[in-house]
Amino acid sequence: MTVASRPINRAPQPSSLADVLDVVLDKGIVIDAYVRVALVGIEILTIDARIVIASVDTYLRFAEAVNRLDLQPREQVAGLPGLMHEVTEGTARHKTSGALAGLKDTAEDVVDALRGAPAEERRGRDLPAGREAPAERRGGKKE
Amino acid sequence: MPVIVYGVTRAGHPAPEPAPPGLGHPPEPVHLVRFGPLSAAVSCTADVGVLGDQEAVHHLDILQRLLARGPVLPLRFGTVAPDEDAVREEVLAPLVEVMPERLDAVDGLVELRLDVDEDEQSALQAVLPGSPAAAYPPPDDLDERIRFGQEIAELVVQRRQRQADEILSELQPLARSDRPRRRHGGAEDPVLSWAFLLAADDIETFDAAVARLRRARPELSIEYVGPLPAIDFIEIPTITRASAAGPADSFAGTGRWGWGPEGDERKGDDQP
Repeated sequence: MTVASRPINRAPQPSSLADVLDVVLDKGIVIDAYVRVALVGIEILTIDARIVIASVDTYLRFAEAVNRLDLQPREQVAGLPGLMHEVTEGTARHKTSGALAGLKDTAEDVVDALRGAPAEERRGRDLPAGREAPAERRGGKKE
Repeated sequence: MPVIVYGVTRAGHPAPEPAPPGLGHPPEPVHLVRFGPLSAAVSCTADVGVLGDQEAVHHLDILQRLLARGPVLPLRFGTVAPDEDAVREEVLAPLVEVMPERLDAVDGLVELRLDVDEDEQSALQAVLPGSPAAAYPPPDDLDERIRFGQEIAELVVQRRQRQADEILSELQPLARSDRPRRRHGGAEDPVLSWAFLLAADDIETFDAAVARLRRARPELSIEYVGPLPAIDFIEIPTITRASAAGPADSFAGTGRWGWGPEGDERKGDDQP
């Protein structure tokens, strides 16, 4: 088998430590509680690695869940400038503008908190809320 | 002198040539210790030293060098014996009953792993236009926003499942066997995490299929790894002193494999 030397789109080894440990630690044959053969020096790594892997996983999931609650609706707006245009042009304009204005304030608060400067916001206030909201959010996200 | 144990192979396994350096200080070459139909890949060391992430990668490296010449199953990283006799008695002897068969079963086979993910933005941009959820502005009310977010998450999940199905339908026919690995397909999970078992000779075909996938789906990030020992396709034993403790120790007696150390009566493999 000479696969290792060929130019390939396949990595020989996992890029993450978790996947390496999956092979050599979690899936490895365990010689447990024997008299002479033992696991040496690995205990700290074992415990640490598991804790780190578990908590990164968990924290990420929490962070993403929070993110989702806060960002998902705005992602929806930001991802759909064309649709937003239609909606604001249509008969639902009045109601939509109200909802968007409320959302816009939220977004501006976030942007302000990030920037620490309200300059952009002032410029934005002069424009129709429905149009401005997505553009401003996109701008804010780029920062 | 203490030896570090890396993996178990068949007795006839060709020694790795040239012998890769083992772990420990100073590193000594990896060689095979034979017992009956099995052998263990080990290296001597005066000082095991710290076994950290780089050493774990090195351990995997050694396994892959061995895999290139025949089937191998890893020993748990950090397994150290005081001498080669201890390896024969406590590692190989308890495995003699079942391991040769299991190694034969994966002779010539390797594991390839595919981990597929998609950037959340890209997934959202793909699912939102034209979806009923996109027809509404996001509600102000927190509960409704949450529900709204859930609807969108559901769209993302449907997309991931569809992507996974399509990818699997292309790759599964090329593999001898395949199975899921890590959590995937959920709103916060990658698209796919899958292991494929295939003949070493078929790797090139599989490579080509993955290359096609990458070209056809630039929106996906695909981590494609291998060849690895077929660890996801073999039941890997835990050797315990369980049966040595005797029937009185019911907790220890529940060990999956029910093996005792050499000299003790071996109950053998109790799985079907």
